[in-house]
Amino acid sequence: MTDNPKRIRLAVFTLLFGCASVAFGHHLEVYGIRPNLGLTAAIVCTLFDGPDFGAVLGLLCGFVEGAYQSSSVGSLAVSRTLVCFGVGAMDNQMYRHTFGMACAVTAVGSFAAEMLYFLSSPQGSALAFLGRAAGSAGLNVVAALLLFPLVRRLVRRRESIIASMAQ
Amino acid sequence: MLEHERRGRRRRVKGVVVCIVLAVGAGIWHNRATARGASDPVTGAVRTVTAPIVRALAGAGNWIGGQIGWIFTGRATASENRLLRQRVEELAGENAKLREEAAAASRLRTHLGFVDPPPAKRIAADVLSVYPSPNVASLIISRGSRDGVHIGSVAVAPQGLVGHVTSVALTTSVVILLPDADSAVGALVQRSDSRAIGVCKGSAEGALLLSYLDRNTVISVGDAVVSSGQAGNRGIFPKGIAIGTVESVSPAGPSSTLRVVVKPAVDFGRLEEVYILR
Repeated sequence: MTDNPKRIRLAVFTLLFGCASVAFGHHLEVYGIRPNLGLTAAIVCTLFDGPDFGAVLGLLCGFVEGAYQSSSVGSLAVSRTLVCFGVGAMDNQMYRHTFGMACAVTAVGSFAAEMLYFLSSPQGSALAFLGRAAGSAGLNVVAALLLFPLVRRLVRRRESIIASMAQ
Repeated sequence: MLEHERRGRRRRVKGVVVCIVLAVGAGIWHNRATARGASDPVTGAVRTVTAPIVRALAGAGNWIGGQIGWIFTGRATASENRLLRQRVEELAGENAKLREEAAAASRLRTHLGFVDPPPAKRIAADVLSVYPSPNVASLIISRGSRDGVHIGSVAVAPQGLVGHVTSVALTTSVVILLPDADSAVGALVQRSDSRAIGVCKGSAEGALLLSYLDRNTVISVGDAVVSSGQAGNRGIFPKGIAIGTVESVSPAGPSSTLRVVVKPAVDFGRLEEVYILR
């Protein structure tokens, strides 16, 4: 049985939340810092798939984010791709699919993605960027708490269909 | 077993390498196009495909905000409404006086042989997203190359100048806002005893600064600042569009210039429509 339908769902989910981040990210701002819903969705979705598809989700998220900025498209796409690949690679080794793990991975992954982005495309004060990245990672954790059950449900529904077909 | 694992790992690495090559390629393509002052097809295509989703989500978000918002702001809105009515009455009187003076100025310009430029054509555009990126002060609008928008087009709102277009796709465009560090516009201090000319530039902290003003310039808090009609960093902004009011004036360190902070006339976070000047 192929994984394609599940992957299509995960890709659409990531795309939708990437667009949501663009559409009303500024409404979700707290003290000038906002969550990155697209990146959070990509990381959480990667937890339910492997590193290779994780890289594709990261690339998709980077492209959507980059398309609505006027600069640094390549840096955004590379940083998101690498982080989601890393999350997927680790997932094969050590993760359990729990809320706690999703939050921890989202926090570390989001922060790492922003830092990679900054390294490849430095801008403004490093300290200010660090603070913003940490704040954004914190808000992404809150978003992950909401997205994790949605993605789990999206994946489990597919898995239960496969299980019933196997029986 | 080991061979199987090795093959799997190789396949994974191949996958991520392909993704990174795609990302770097798109980045280089984008940078080259931007350096030429053009829009690149990759981000343009992504924006064209995702714009309907963003538009639907933004519309839903605004509708929900509008439906729920009044519950929390009802009382404050009522008192704001009273104050605004008073202000409208004051402004109506001032407006009538200004209209009379504008007519007189127009008559004098005609007598002296000045030729007024034809009024710019305006394209109305919905704002799809405000500040889509925390790193760039920008807007996404619902008009693109299909509607005649091009890189360097000027975006205005009824309150004043908004910014200029930096990237155009088929159905959407990116407008860099005045407070962005990448933005600059020729500016004029609007007072009868000064008319000082400088450049209004964004800064990394997001403040709008009026630069290149001599320390002896006559300027004070509350003065209006409008576009001077001289070249900014992208094309020419038409003369006389409101930029904002002077918020603070202080000497700029050891240099012989002033540091003037300008409060923008437009509240960028609340913009729902803009006009693109053609």
